[in-house]
Amino acid sequence: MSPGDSILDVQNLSKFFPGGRGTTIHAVNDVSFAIRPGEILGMVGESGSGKSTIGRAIVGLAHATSGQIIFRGQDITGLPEKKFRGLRKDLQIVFQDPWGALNPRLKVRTIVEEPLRLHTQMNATDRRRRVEELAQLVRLNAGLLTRYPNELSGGQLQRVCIARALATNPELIVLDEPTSSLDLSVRAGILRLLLELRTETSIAMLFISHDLGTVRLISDRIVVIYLGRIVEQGPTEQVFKAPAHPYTQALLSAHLPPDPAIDQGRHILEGEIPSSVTLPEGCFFAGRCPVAVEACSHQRPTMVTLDGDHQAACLRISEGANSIGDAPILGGPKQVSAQSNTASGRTP
Amino acid sequence: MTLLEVQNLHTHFITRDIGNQVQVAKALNSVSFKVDAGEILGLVGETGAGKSLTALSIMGLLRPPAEIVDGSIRFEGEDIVAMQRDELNRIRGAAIAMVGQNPRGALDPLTRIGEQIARVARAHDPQLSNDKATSMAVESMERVGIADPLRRAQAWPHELSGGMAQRVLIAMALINGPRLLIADEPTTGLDVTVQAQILDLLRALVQELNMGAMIITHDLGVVAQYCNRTAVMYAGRIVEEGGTRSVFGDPRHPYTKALIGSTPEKLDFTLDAEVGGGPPNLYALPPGCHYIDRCPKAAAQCNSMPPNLALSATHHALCHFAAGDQARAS
Ligand SMILES: Nc1ncnc2c1ncn2[C@@H]1O[C@H](COP(=O)(O)OP(=O)(O)OP(=O)(O)O)[C@@H](O)[C@H]1O
Ligand SMILES: Nc1ncnc2c1ncn2[C@@H]1O[C@H](COP(=O)(O)OP(=O)(O)OP(=O)(O)O)[C@@H](O)[C@H]1O
Ligand SMILES: [Mg+2]
Ligand SMILES: [Mg+2]
Repeated sequence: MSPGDSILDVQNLSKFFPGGRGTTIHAVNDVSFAIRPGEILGMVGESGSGKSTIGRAIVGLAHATSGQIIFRGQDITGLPEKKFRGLRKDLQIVFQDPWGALNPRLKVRTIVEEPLRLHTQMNATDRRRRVEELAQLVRLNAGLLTRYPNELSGGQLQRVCIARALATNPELIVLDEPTSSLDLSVRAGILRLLLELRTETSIAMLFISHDLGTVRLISDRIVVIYLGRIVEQGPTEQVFKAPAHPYTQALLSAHLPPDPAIDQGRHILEGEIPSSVTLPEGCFFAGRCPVAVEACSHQRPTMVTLDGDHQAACLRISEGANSIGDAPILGGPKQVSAQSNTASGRTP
Repeated sequence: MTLLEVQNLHTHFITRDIGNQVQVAKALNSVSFKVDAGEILGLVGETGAGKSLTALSIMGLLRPPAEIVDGSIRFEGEDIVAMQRDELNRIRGAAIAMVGQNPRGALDPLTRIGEQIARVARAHDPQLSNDKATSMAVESMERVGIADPLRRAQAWPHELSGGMAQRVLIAMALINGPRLLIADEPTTGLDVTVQAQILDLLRALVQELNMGAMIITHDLGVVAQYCNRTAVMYAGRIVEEGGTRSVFGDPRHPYTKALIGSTPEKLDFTLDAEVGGGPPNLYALPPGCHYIDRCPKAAAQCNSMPPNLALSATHHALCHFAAGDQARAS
């Protein structure tokens, strides 16, 4: 994909934080990806893998340590807040926690209207009309517009946040775990809404989540992050059906389908994600990888194209030895974890 | 063998308002279920349903204004609601152990983990020598898959990862050889790859030690993949209970259907959308079905208490229409 095709191009983005006592937290490490107009890109990775930091850097809430963020062909990396203001209208973000994201002293109507006042020339009547239109778009009962945030449920609040983000018709929205703090049935409503928005508008989205089921449902393409690095990216179904990186394979197999009839063979990883203070020299995953060889611990793998848009960064792909399917299954106490999961089939 | 049998448990929050009027929040309303040795029961439901309160009621850890107002909790045949404090202490923490949701918060930051685990053993048996308690702690750490337990026993809580902290809590829960283990959201907040390690460990321990276990969660994946039986809770009632395959394969309560239909894997746009709104006010519960205000199928009957319909010997649902739509039409 050439840069001209995409609405957003992230190139070699790194973001480090001071970690105290002279150490450095390598939150994001040389990440490159692109988002096309109208596309939903899902970003998955475990806690601390740098997803939010990437999202925040894109919308100018965190400054990149190195690398570029190119929005509609314009380099917006490190743009001062004043200059960024002109872009706000086209670049929005929705956070995980709807309770913390809204000013409790403002009525919902005022909250949704705020970006219109700040970033557009609309007059009061037009703004009013637009707010009602937005309420309808996010399936929020218009009666709720006169309430305060504490009078709304979590799902309703998240709809308010989404309405506010949509107000100025942005071209890209970063959704940082927009459903994780919500109860299942409430979450379903928001997912439904996002799927509807996807057909009713042409807004591109970066959808950050650690829930694989949600990401699969909503995204056109996905990016898999491990320790601040992209290990794999590609069209959603391709990645889910034929995950190439050993970490992606392990991650997908650790996902628990909410259906006892699905009996998934699993690969349990040993250990946990290493610290982002001292990064491993070679592949970040080598220490936990069941198919790692000597070279993996000192050589950083580069992205290998598997098929069209589908790429993964693993040294063992070229030998065809990247599948953890035939590797011995690790971990768990006394070999029991090697069994497949038949929960109800195992009544003693 | 039935280890735990909870029958018609009612736990309420009883307070007085400024006008000295008694206010009652009916948080658990006739909860009944049982747990057998060697099986895992999954207790699911949305936030505020009463899952943790059920666990606290069993553990005897309720604090005022929460109070068990009716019902029985039988552990190996003995009613622990009627039991005296010291008798209860003998069971709690030893025969029945609990693993809480926040592993870090549950550890004392100023005590090495081996000593913390040993302390639990000594609390149960004050005669125990320090050496014996320490070796029991190391043994327990080994059993939960902590590598190099002798060295790890010297670690401080802040040196542990989330998954390791959860293993330590499980080691602590196991040290007195419990016959029933209650785990309240044991993997919430852990990474998926680590979650799988912890759940595999719990399942292995249940089989190996022939314990009974109850896992409280709002993650249907955890229940579907790890629990033999499933109990679905809504507004302080178990609305459906049965073998996991049966409940997931043929859910009969509209709430169970909505819950299963809400997972991204099953998100079904053809299903009747819920009427919306949240759970009912515990201070003013509706007289009949608690789900009435959200149920797309609610009818006049639903204003009266629904029966706990048996769909098979082991599968029940608390709904007037659980037998199927035919029954409704007639
Ligand atoms: N402002 C900050 N100062 C110092 N360290 C930070 C800061 N923000 C993030 N980090 C660190 O950067 C790393 C990546 O964090 P980030 O929040 O981006 O991860 P994430 O993938 O969003 O995780 P989660 O799934 O838990 O939300 C973590 O180690 C985190 O502790
Ligand atoms: N002091 C109190 N007075 C009145 N009601 C209370 C009080 N404390 C808790 N409750 C209510 O008791 C109910 C049961 O809470 P419980 O913690 O058991 O829910 P839960 O199912 O564990 O939810 P979660 O999934 O959020 O952990 C909740 O609806 C809660 O609002
Ligand atoms: Mg985050
Ligand atoms: Mg709880």
